[in-house]
Amino acid sequence: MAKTILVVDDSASLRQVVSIALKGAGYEVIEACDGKDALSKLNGAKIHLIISDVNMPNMDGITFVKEAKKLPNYKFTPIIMLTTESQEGKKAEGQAAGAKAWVVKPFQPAQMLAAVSKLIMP
Amino acid sequence: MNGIKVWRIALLLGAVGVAMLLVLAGLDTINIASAILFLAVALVAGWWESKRLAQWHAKAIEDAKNQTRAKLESAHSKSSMSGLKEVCMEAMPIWSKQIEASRSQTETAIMDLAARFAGISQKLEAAVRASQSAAGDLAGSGESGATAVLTQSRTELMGVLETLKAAQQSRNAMLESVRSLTSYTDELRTMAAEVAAIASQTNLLALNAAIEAARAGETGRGFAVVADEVRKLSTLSSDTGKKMSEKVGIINTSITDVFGVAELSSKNDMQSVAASESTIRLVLERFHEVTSQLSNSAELLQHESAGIGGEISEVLVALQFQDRTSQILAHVRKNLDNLHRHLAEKDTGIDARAWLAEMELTYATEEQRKIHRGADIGGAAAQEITFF
Repeated sequence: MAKTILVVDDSASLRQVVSIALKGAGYEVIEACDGKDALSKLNGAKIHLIISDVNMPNMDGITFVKEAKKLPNYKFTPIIMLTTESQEGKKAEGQAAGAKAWVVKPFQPAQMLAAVSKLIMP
Repeated sequence: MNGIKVWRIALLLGAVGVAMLLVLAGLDTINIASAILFLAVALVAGWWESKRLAQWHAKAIEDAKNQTRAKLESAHSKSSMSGLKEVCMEAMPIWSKQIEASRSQTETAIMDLAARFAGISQKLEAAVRASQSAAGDLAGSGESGATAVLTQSRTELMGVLETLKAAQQSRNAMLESVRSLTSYTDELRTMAAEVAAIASQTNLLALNAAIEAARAGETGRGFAVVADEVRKLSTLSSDTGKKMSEKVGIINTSITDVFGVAELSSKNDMQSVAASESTIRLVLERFHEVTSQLSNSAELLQHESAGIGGEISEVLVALQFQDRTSQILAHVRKNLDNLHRHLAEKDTGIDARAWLAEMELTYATEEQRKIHRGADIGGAAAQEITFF
Protein backbone atom coordinates (compact mmCIF):
# COMPACT_ATOMS: atom_id res chain seq x y z
CA MET A 1 0.00 0.00 0.00
CA ALA A 2 1.45 3.33 -1.01
CA LYS A 3 1.79 5.94 1.73
CA THR A 4 0.13 9.33 1.30
CA ILE A 5 1.87 12.68 1.79
CA LEU A 6 0.09 16.07 1.95
CA VAL A 7 2.04 18.91 0.27
CA VAL A 8 1.04 22.47 1.24
CA ASP A 9 2.45 25.46 -0.70
CA ASP A 10 0.94 28.46 -2.47
CA SER A 11 3.32 28.04 -5.42
CA ALA A 12 1.91 25.60 -7.96
CA SER A 13 5.30 25.08 -9.58
CA LEU A 14 6.88 24.10 -6.28
CA ARG A 15 4.06 21.68 -5.41
CA GLN A 16 4.68 20.11 -8.80
CA VAL A 17 8.41 19.61 -8.22
CA VAL A 18 7.82 18.09 -4.76
CA SER A 19 5.14 15.86 -6.31
CA ILE A 20 7.52 14.63 -9.00
CA ALA A 21 10.19 13.81 -6.45
CA LEU A 22 7.76 12.00 -4.10
CA LYS A 23 5.81 10.12 -6.78
CA GLY A 24 9.11 8.98 -8.30
CA ALA A 25 9.83 7.28 -4.98
CA GLY A 26 6.41 5.60 -4.93
CA TYR A 27 4.39 7.85 -2.58
CA GLU A 28 0.85 9.11 -3.20
CA VAL A 29 0.58 12.91 -3.09
CA ILE A 30 -2.29 15.25 -2.10
CA GLU A 31 -1.76 18.99 -2.78
CA ALA A 32 -3.12 22.03 -0.93
CA CYS A 33 -2.52 25.72 -1.72
CA ASP A 34 -2.62 27.20 1.80
CA GLY A 35 -3.28 26.39 5.47
CA LYS A 36 -7.08 26.55 5.18
CA ASP A 37 -7.15 24.33 2.10
CA ALA A 38 -4.82 21.88 3.82
CA LEU A 39 -7.06 21.64 6.90
CA SER A 40 -10.04 20.82 4.68
CA LYS A 41 -8.04 18.04 3.01
CA LEU A 42 -7.16 16.59 6.43
CA ASN A 43 -10.71 15.37 6.85
CA GLY A 44 -10.24 12.87 4.08
CA ALA A 45 -7.82 10.01 3.58
CA LYS A 46 -5.18 8.77 5.94
CA ILE A 47 -2.09 10.94 5.69
CA HIS A 48 1.31 9.62 6.73
CA LEU A 49 3.33 12.84 6.52
CA ILE A 50 2.86 16.56 5.80
CA ILE A 51 5.26 18.89 3.96
CA SER A 52 4.33 22.54 4.40
CA ASP A 53 5.53 26.00 3.30
CA VAL A 54 5.63 28.86 5.84
CA ASN A 55 4.65 32.01 3.91
CA MET A 56 1.20 31.48 2.47
CA PRO A 57 -1.95 33.57 2.13
CA ASN A 58 -5.15 32.85 4.15
CA MET A 59 -3.29 30.79 6.75
CA ASP A 60 0.45 30.59 7.09
CA GLY A 61 2.43 27.42 7.72
CA ILE A 62 3.16 27.86 11.42
CA THR A 63 -0.52 28.48 12.23
CA PHE A 64 -1.49 25.50 10.09
CA VAL A 65 0.89 23.24 12.02
CA LYS A 66 -0.63 24.38 15.32
CA GLU A 67 -4.16 23.79 14.01
CA ALA A 68 -3.29 20.39 12.58
CA LYS A 69 -1.80 19.24 15.86
CA LYS A 70 -5.16 19.97 17.53
CA LEU A 71 -6.97 17.43 15.34
CA PRO A 72 -7.07 14.01 17.07
CA ASN A 73 -6.34 12.00 13.91
CA TYR A 74 -3.32 14.05 13.01
CA LYS A 75 -1.79 14.80 16.38
CA PHE A 76 1.18 12.54 15.73
CA THR A 77 1.53 13.05 12.00
CA PRO A 78 5.12 14.20 11.31
CA ILE A 79 5.38 17.61 9.63
CA ILE A 80 8.36 18.87 7.59
CA MET A 81 8.56 22.63 6.93
CA LEU A 82 9.80 23.49 3.43
CA THR A 83 10.48 27.20 3.05
CA THR A 84 12.79 29.95 1.81
CA GLU A 85 13.15 31.22 5.39
CA SER A 86 16.42 30.34 7.07
CA GLN A 87 16.39 32.65 10.11
CA GLU A 88 16.84 30.97 13.46
CA GLY A 89 13.85 32.83 14.92
CA LYS A 90 11.49 31.37 12.36
CA LYS A 91 12.99 27.91 12.83
CA ALA A 92 12.39 28.14 16.58
CA GLU A 93 8.76 29.08 15.87
CA GLY A 94 8.40 26.01 13.71
CA GLN A 95 9.91 23.76 16.34
CA ALA A 96 7.65 25.23 19.02
CA ALA A 97 4.59 24.65 16.84
CA GLY A 98 5.47 20.97 16.54
CA ALA A 99 7.27 20.53 13.21
CA LYS A 100 9.79 17.70 13.03
CA ALA A 101 12.19 19.18 10.46
CA TRP A 102 13.00 22.44 8.66
CA VAL A 103 14.17 22.29 5.03
CA VAL A 104 15.41 25.44 3.27
CA LYS A 105 14.44 25.75 -0.39
CA PRO A 106 15.65 24.60 -2.84
CA PHE A 107 15.74 21.01 -1.57
CA GLN A 108 17.91 18.18 -2.89
CA PRO A 109 15.58 15.33 -3.86
CA ALA A 110 17.84 12.69 -2.34
CA GLN A 111 18.03 14.54 0.99
CA MET A 112 14.30 15.23 1.09
CA LEU A 113 13.46 11.60 0.36
CA ALA A 114 15.86 10.48 3.09
CA ALA A 115 14.17 12.80 5.60
CA VAL A 116 10.72 11.61 4.50
CA SER A 117 11.56 7.96 4.87
CA LYS A 118 13.13 8.68 8.26
CA LEU A 119 10.11 10.54 9.65
CA ILE A 120 7.10 9.04 7.85
CA MET A 121 4.54 7.16 9.90
CA PRO A 122 4.74 3.37 9.55
CA MET B 1 30.60 103.34 1.52
CA ASN B 2 31.12 102.16 5.06
CA GLY B 3 34.71 101.41 4.33
CA ILE B 4 35.46 104.92 3.24
CA LYS B 5 33.72 106.27 6.32
CA VAL B 6 35.96 104.15 8.50
CA TRP B 7 38.99 105.46 6.69
CA ARG B 8 37.91 109.05 7.39
CA ILE B 9 37.20 108.34 11.03
CA ALA B 10 40.51 106.66 11.47
CA LEU B 11 42.41 109.43 9.69
CA LEU B 12 40.57 112.07 11.66
CA LEU B 13 41.34 110.33 14.94
CA GLY B 14 44.91 109.96 13.90
CA ALA B 15 45.26 113.56 12.88
CA VAL B 16 43.62 114.77 16.09
CA GLY B 17 45.86 112.59 18.12
CA VAL B 18 48.99 113.84 16.36
CA ALA B 19 47.93 117.45 16.65
CA MET B 20 47.23 117.08 20.35
CA LEU B 21 50.55 115.40 20.87
CA LEU B 22 52.47 118.10 19.04
CA VAL B 23 50.62 120.81 20.81
CA LEU B 24 51.05 119.32 24.23
CA ALA B 25 54.54 117.97 23.88
CA GLY B 26 56.22 120.38 21.55
CA LEU B 27 57.77 119.94 18.12
CA ASP B 28 60.92 117.99 18.88
CA THR B 29 62.17 114.92 16.97
CA ILE B 30 60.79 112.26 19.29
CA ASN B 31 57.40 113.82 19.31
CA ILE B 32 57.32 114.12 15.54
CA ALA B 33 58.47 110.53 15.25
CA SER B 34 55.81 109.23 17.60
CA ALA B 35 53.26 111.40 15.80
CA ILE B 36 54.18 109.76 12.50
CA LEU B 37 54.01 106.34 14.22
CA PHE B 38 50.55 107.14 15.57
CA LEU B 39 49.35 108.12 12.11
CA ALA B 40 50.79 104.96 10.62
CA VAL B 41 49.08 102.77 13.23
CA ALA B 42 45.82 104.63 12.64
CA LEU B 43 46.16 104.15 8.90
CA VAL B 44 46.89 100.40 9.27
CA ALA B 45 43.97 99.91 11.68
CA GLY B 46 41.70 101.75 9.35
CA TRP B 47 42.84 99.75 6.33
CA TRP B 48 42.43 96.43 8.19
CA GLU B 49 39.00 97.33 9.50
CA SER B 50 37.77 98.45 6.11
CA LYS B 51 38.99 95.25 4.55
CA ARG B 52 37.11 93.18 7.14
CA LEU B 53 34.02 95.15 6.51
CA ALA B 54 34.34 94.63 2.79
CA GLN B 55 34.61 90.87 3.39
CA TRP B 56 31.55 90.88 5.58
CA HIS B 57 29.74 92.81 2.90
CA ALA B 58 30.75 90.39 0.20
CA LYS B 59 29.65 87.46 2.35
CA ALA B 60 26.32 89.10 3.00
CA ILE B 61 25.81 89.58 -0.71
CA GLU B 62 26.87 86.01 -1.38
CA ASP B 63 24.46 84.68 1.23
CA ALA B 64 21.65 86.70 -0.22
CA LYS B 65 22.50 85.36 -3.65
CA ASN B 66 22.52 81.76 -2.37
CA GLN B 67 19.25 82.17 -0.59
CA THR B 68 17.64 83.51 -3.70
CA ARG B 69 19.12 80.70 -5.76
CA ALA B 70 17.89 78.08 -3.28
CA LYS B 71 14.47 79.58 -3.28
CA LEU B 72 14.42 79.51 -7.04
CA GLU B 73 15.67 75.95 -7.11
CA SER B 74 13.11 74.69 -4.66
CA ALA B 75 10.39 76.41 -6.55
CA HIS B 76 11.76 74.82 -9.71
CA SER B 77 12.06 71.39 -8.11
CA LYS B 78 8.60 71.62 -6.67
CA SER B 79 7.26 71.92 -10.16
CA SER B 80 9.44 68.99 -11.42
CA MET B 81 8.39 66.94 -8.35
CA SER B 82 4.81 67.28 -9.38
CA GLY B 83 5.77 65.99 -12.84
CA LEU B 84 7.46 63.04 -11.13
CA LYS B 85 4.34 62.23 -9.16
CA GLU B 86 2.28 62.14 -12.32
CA VAL B 87 4.76 59.78 -13.96
CA CYS B 88 4.61 57.49 -10.92
CA MET B 89 0.84 57.48 -10.80
CA GLU B 90 0.65 56.51 -14.44
CA ALA B 91 3.67 54.22 -14.70
CA MET B 92 3.36 52.24 -11.45
CA PRO B 93 0.27 50.28 -12.37
CA ILE B 94 1.88 49.50 -15.73
CA TRP B 95 5.09 48.33 -14.04
CA SER B 96 3.04 46.27 -11.62
CA LYS B 97 1.07 44.55 -14.33
CA GLN B 98 4.18 43.87 -16.40
CA ILE B 99 5.94 42.31 -13.43
CA GLU B 100 2.88 40.13 -12.78
CA ALA B 101 2.68 39.15 -16.47
CA SER B 102 6.30 38.05 -16.60
CA ARG B 103 5.98 36.22 -13.26
CA SER B 104 2.91 34.27 -14.29
CA GLN B 105 4.18 33.49 -17.78
CA THR B 106 7.41 32.11 -16.34
CA GLU B 107 5.44 30.07 -13.82
CA THR B 108 3.24 28.53 -16.54
CA ALA B 109 6.22 27.74 -18.76
CA ILE B 110 8.24 26.18 -15.93
CA MET B 111 5.30 24.03 -14.85
CA ASP B 112 4.84 22.77 -18.40
CA LEU B 113 8.56 22.03 -18.61
CA ALA B 114 8.50 20.19 -15.29
CA ALA B 115 5.54 18.06 -16.36
CA ARG B 116 7.21 17.07 -19.63
CA PHE B 117 10.42 16.36 -17.80
CA ALA B 118 8.60 14.12 -15.34
CA GLY B 119 7.07 12.24 -18.30
CA ILE B 120 10.44 11.73 -19.97
CA SER B 121 12.02 10.61 -16.72
CA GLN B 122 9.26 8.05 -16.09
CA LYS B 123 9.49 6.62 -19.61
CA LEU B 124 13.26 6.38 -19.30
CA GLU B 125 12.95 4.55 -16.00
CA ALA B 126 10.42 2.14 -17.46
CA ALA B 127 12.64 1.46 -20.47
CA VAL B 128 15.68 0.84 -18.29
CA ARG B 129 13.66 -1.44 -16.01
CA ALA B 130 12.32 -3.42 -18.98
CA SER B 131 15.76 -3.80 -20.52
CA GLN B 132 17.24 -4.78 -17.18
CA SER B 133 14.61 -7.42 -16.56
CA ALA B 134 15.03 -8.80 -20.09
CA ALA B 135 18.79 -8.84 -19.66
CA GLY B 136 18.38 -10.26 -16.19
CA ASP B 137 16.19 -13.03 -17.53
CA LEU B 138 18.75 -13.67 -20.25
CA ALA B 139 21.70 -13.65 -17.91
CA GLY B 140 19.94 -15.50 -15.14
CA SER B 141 19.88 -19.19 -14.40
CA GLY B 142 16.10 -19.43 -14.55
CA GLU B 143 13.94 -20.90 -17.28
CA SER B 144 14.40 -18.01 -19.67
CA GLY B 145 18.15 -17.64 -19.02
CA ALA B 146 20.31 -17.75 -22.12
CA THR B 147 22.26 -20.80 -20.96
CA ALA B 148 19.08 -22.70 -20.14
CA VAL B 149 17.52 -21.82 -23.52
CA LEU B 150 20.71 -22.80 -25.35
CA THR B 151 20.96 -26.12 -23.55
CA GLN B 152 17.31 -26.89 -24.11
CA SER B 153 17.49 -25.91 -27.78
CA ARG B 154 20.55 -28.03 -28.31
CA THR B 155 18.90 -31.00 -26.62
CA GLU B 156 15.72 -30.68 -28.66
CA LEU B 157 17.52 -30.18 -31.96
CA MET B 158 19.88 -33.06 -31.29
CA GLY B 159 16.82 -35.12 -30.44
CA VAL B 160 15.40 -34.38 -33.89
CA LEU B 161 18.69 -35.48 -35.46
CA GLU B 162 18.65 -38.65 -33.42
CA THR B 163 15.11 -39.41 -34.61
CA LEU B 164 16.30 -39.00 -38.22
CA LYS B 165 19.28 -41.21 -37.58
CA ALA B 166 17.08 -43.85 -35.93
CA ALA B 167 14.75 -43.78 -38.94
CA GLN B 168 17.74 -44.28 -41.19
CA GLN B 169 18.95 -47.17 -39.11
CA SER B 170 15.62 -48.97 -39.17
CA ARG B 171 15.51 -48.52 -42.95
CA ASN B 172 19.00 -49.99 -43.21
CA ALA B 173 17.91 -52.90 -41.04
CA MET B 174 14.90 -53.44 -43.29
CA LEU B 175 17.19 -53.37 -46.35
CA GLU B 176 19.46 -55.94 -44.73
CA SER B 177 16.55 -58.30 -44.12
CA VAL B 178 15.48 -57.73 -47.75
CA ARG B 179 18.99 -58.55 -48.86
CA SER B 180 18.93 -61.75 -46.80
CA LEU B 181 15.97 -62.80 -48.93
CA THR B 182 18.44 -63.26 -51.82
CA SER B 183 19.98 -66.18 -49.96
CA TYR B 184 16.53 -67.78 -50.03
CA THR B 185 16.17 -67.08 -53.73
CA ASP B 186 19.53 -68.72 -54.36
CA GLU B 187 18.25 -71.79 -52.57
CA LEU B 188 15.13 -71.64 -54.71
CA ARG B 189 17.26 -71.47 -57.84
CA THR B 190 19.21 -74.54 -56.75
CA MET B 191 15.96 -76.31 -56.00
CA ALA B 192 14.60 -75.28 -59.44
CA ALA B 193 17.72 -76.70 -61.07
CA GLU B 194 17.23 -79.92 -59.10
CA VAL B 195 13.62 -80.06 -60.27
CA ALA B 196 14.81 -79.66 -63.88
CA ALA B 197 17.37 -82.40 -63.36
CA ILE B 198 14.73 -84.66 -61.82
CA ALA B 199 12.39 -83.87 -64.72
CA SER B 200 14.98 -84.76 -67.35
CA GLN B 201 15.90 -87.95 -65.48
CA THR B 202 12.24 -88.84 -65.29
CA ASN B 203 11.96 -88.17 -68.99
CA LEU B 204 14.82 -90.58 -69.71
CA LEU B 205 13.26 -93.18 -67.45
CA ALA B 206 9.94 -92.82 -69.21
CA LEU B 207 11.71 -93.17 -72.55
CA ASN B 208 13.43 -96.33 -71.37
CA ALA B 209 10.11 -97.63 -70.00
CA ALA B 210 8.47 -96.98 -73.38
CA ILE B 211 11.26 -98.90 -75.18
CA GLU B 212 10.92 -101.83 -72.75
CA ALA B 213 7.12 -101.72 -73.17
CA ALA B 214 7.49 -101.92 -76.98
CA ARG B 215 9.86 -104.87 -76.58
CA ALA B 216 7.21 -106.65 -74.38
CA GLY B 217 4.71 -106.49 -77.28
CA GLU B 218 1.04 -106.79 -76.44
CA THR B 219 1.58 -107.30 -72.70
CA GLY B 220 3.59 -104.14 -72.58
CA ARG B 221 0.87 -101.88 -74.07
CA GLY B 222 -0.60 -100.94 -70.70
CA PHE B 223 2.95 -100.15 -69.47
CA ALA B 224 3.61 -98.09 -72.62
CA VAL B 225 0.58 -95.88 -71.78
CA VAL B 226 1.83 -95.40 -68.20
CA ALA B 227 5.28 -94.61 -69.54
CA ASP B 228 3.76 -92.03 -71.84
CA GLU B 229 1.90 -90.39 -69.01
CA VAL B 230 5.09 -90.28 -66.94
CA ARG B 231 6.86 -88.56 -69.87
CA LYS B 232 4.08 -85.99 -70.06
CA LEU B 233 4.41 -85.39 -66.31
CA SER B 234 8.15 -84.98 -66.53
CA THR B 235 7.81 -82.42 -69.33
CA LEU B 236 5.32 -80.56 -67.19
CA SER B 237 7.74 -80.64 -64.25
CA SER B 238 10.54 -79.39 -66.47
CA ASP B 239 8.36 -76.49 -67.66
CA THR B 240 7.33 -75.68 -64.12
CA GLY B 241 10.94 -75.79 -63.07
CA LYS B 242 11.92 -73.38 -65.86
CA LYS B 243 9.08 -71.02 -64.90
CA MET B 244 10.23 -71.18 -61.28
CA SER B 245 13.77 -70.28 -62.34
CA GLU B 246 12.51 -67.38 -64.40
CA LYS B 247 10.43 -66.08 -61.48
CA VAL B 248 13.34 -66.43 -59.09
CA GLY B 249 15.46 -64.44 -61.57
CA ILE B 250 12.87 -61.68 -61.70
CA ILE B 251 12.64 -61.54 -57.88
CA ASN B 252 16.41 -61.34 -57.57
CA THR B 253 16.63 -58.49 -60.09
CA SER B 254 13.87 -56.61 -58.27
CA ILE B 255 15.60 -57.07 -54.95
CA THR B 256 18.89 -55.77 -56.38
CA ASP B 257 17.13 -52.80 -57.96
CA VAL B 258 15.27 -51.88 -54.76
CA PHE B 259 18.46 -52.27 -52.84
CA GLY B 260 20.33 -49.98 -55.24
CA VAL B 261 17.71 -47.22 -54.94
CA ALA B 262 17.54 -47.57 -51.18
CA GLU B 263 21.31 -47.31 -50.86
CA LEU B 264 21.37 -44.12 -52.95
CA SER B 265 18.63 -42.43 -50.95
CA SER B 266 20.30 -43.56 -47.74
CA LYS B 267 23.51 -41.82 -48.80
CA ASN B 268 21.53 -38.63 -49.55
CA ASP B 269 19.86 -38.82 -46.14
CA MET B 270 23.15 -39.16 -44.34
CA GLN B 271 24.46 -36.08 -46.15
CA SER B 272 21.32 -34.11 -45.18
CA VAL B 273 21.66 -35.16 -41.57
CA ALA B 274 25.30 -34.09 -41.51
CA ALA B 275 24.38 -30.73 -43.08
CA SER B 276 21.53 -30.30 -40.57
CA GLU B 277 23.88 -31.00 -37.70
CA SER B 278 26.34 -28.30 -38.81
CA THR B 279 23.48 -25.81 -39.47
CA ILE B 280 22.14 -26.45 -36.00
CA ARG B 281 25.53 -25.84 -34.49
CA LEU B 282 25.87 -22.56 -36.45
CA VAL B 283 22.40 -21.38 -35.39
CA LEU B 284 23.12 -22.10 -31.72
CA GLU B 285 26.42 -20.22 -31.94
CA ARG B 286 24.75 -17.16 -33.49
CA PHE B 287 22.03 -17.26 -30.83
CA HIS B 288 24.71 -17.30 -28.16
CA GLU B 289 26.43 -14.30 -29.77
CA VAL B 290 23.19 -12.32 -29.97
CA THR B 291 22.26 -13.00 -26.35
CA SER B 292 25.67 -12.00 -25.07
CA GLN B 293 25.51 -8.76 -27.12
CA LEU B 294 22.07 -8.07 -25.62
CA SER B 295 23.41 -8.72 -22.17
CA ASN B 296 26.33 -6.30 -22.78
CA SER B 297 24.11 -3.49 -24.04
CA ALA B 298 21.76 -3.95 -21.08
CA GLU B 299 24.74 -3.57 -18.75
CA LEU B 300 25.78 -0.40 -20.58
CA LEU B 301 22.24 1.00 -20.29
CA GLN B 302 22.21 0.32 -16.57
CA HIS B 303 25.50 2.19 -16.21
CA GLU B 304 24.15 5.21 -18.08
CA SER B 305 20.89 5.24 -16.15
CA ALA B 306 22.77 5.48 -12.85
CA GLY B 307 24.43 8.66 -14.15
CA ILE B 308 21.10 9.97 -15.41
CA GLY B 309 19.62 9.62 -11.93
CA GLY B 310 22.07 12.29 -10.75
CA GLU B 311 21.10 14.61 -13.64
CA ILE B 312 17.42 14.21 -12.80
CA SER B 313 18.13 15.31 -9.22
CA GLU B 314 19.92 18.45 -10.41
CA VAL B 315 17.05 19.35 -12.73
CA LEU B 316 14.57 19.05 -9.85
CA VAL B 317 16.70 21.44 -7.78
CA ALA B 318 16.95 23.93 -10.65
CA LEU B 319 13.18 23.89 -11.28
CA GLN B 320 12.60 25.11 -7.71
CA PHE B 321 14.09 28.52 -8.41
CA GLN B 322 10.91 29.51 -10.17
CA ASP B 323 9.25 29.58 -6.74
CA ARG B 324 11.91 31.91 -5.29
CA THR B 325 11.88 34.39 -8.17
CA SER B 326 8.10 34.32 -8.14
CA GLN B 327 8.05 35.30 -4.45
CA ILE B 328 10.53 38.13 -4.98
CA LEU B 329 8.56 39.49 -7.95
CA ALA B 330 5.29 39.24 -6.04
CA HIS B 331 6.78 41.26 -3.17
CA VAL B 332 8.07 43.94 -5.55
CA ARG B 333 4.65 44.18 -7.11
CA LYS B 334 2.91 44.46 -3.76
CA ASN B 335 5.26 47.24 -2.78
CA LEU B 336 4.67 49.11 -6.03
CA ASP B 337 0.92 48.79 -5.54
CA ASN B 338 1.22 50.06 -1.95
CA LEU B 339 3.27 53.05 -3.05
CA HIS B 340 0.81 53.79 -5.82
CA ARG B 341 -2.08 53.64 -3.39
CA HIS B 342 -0.27 55.92 -0.95
CA LEU B 343 0.35 58.50 -3.67
CA ALA B 344 -3.25 58.30 -4.86
CA GLU B 345 -4.95 58.52 -1.47
CA LYS B 346 -2.63 60.63 0.69
CA ASP B 347 -0.81 63.63 -0.63
CA THR B 348 1.54 63.77 2.34
CA GLY B 349 5.19 63.01 2.12
CA ILE B 350 6.62 59.58 2.79
CA ASP B 351 9.07 58.70 5.48
CA ALA B 352 11.60 56.76 3.44
CA ARG B 353 13.11 55.03 6.43
CA ALA B 354 9.77 53.86 7.77
CA TRP B 355 8.77 52.66 4.32
CA LEU B 356 12.00 50.68 3.87
CA ALA B 357 11.70 49.22 7.36
CA GLU B 358 8.20 47.98 6.54
CA MET B 359 9.48 46.51 3.27
CA GLU B 360 12.11 44.58 5.18
CA LEU B 361 9.45 42.97 7.35
CA THR B 362 7.72 41.42 4.33
CA TYR B 363 10.80 39.59 3.07
CA ALA B 364 10.83 35.80 3.00
CA THR B 365 14.20 35.01 1.43
CA GLU B 366 17.83 35.68 2.31
CA GLU B 367 18.47 37.24 -1.11
CA GLN B 368 15.83 39.90 -0.46
CA ARG B 369 17.41 40.78 2.88
CA LYS B 370 20.91 40.87 1.42
CA ILE B 371 19.85 43.07 -1.48
CA HIS B 372 18.03 45.39 0.95
CA ARG B 373 21.19 45.82 3.00
CA GLY B 374 23.26 46.32 -0.12
CA ALA B 375 25.29 43.16 0.31
CA ASP B 376 26.22 40.75 -2.47
CA ILE B 377 23.83 37.90 -3.02
CA GLY B 378 26.70 35.46 -3.43
CA GLY B 379 26.25 31.89 -4.65
CA ALA B 380 23.36 29.56 -3.85
CA ALA B 381 23.19 28.59 -0.21
CA ALA B 382 24.22 25.09 0.81
CA GLN B 383 21.43 22.65 1.60
CA GLU B 384 20.08 22.91 5.09
CA ILE B 385 17.87 20.37 6.76
CA THR B 386 17.42 20.88 10.47
CA PHE B 387 15.84 18.08 12.46
CA PHE B 388 14.06 19.06 15.66
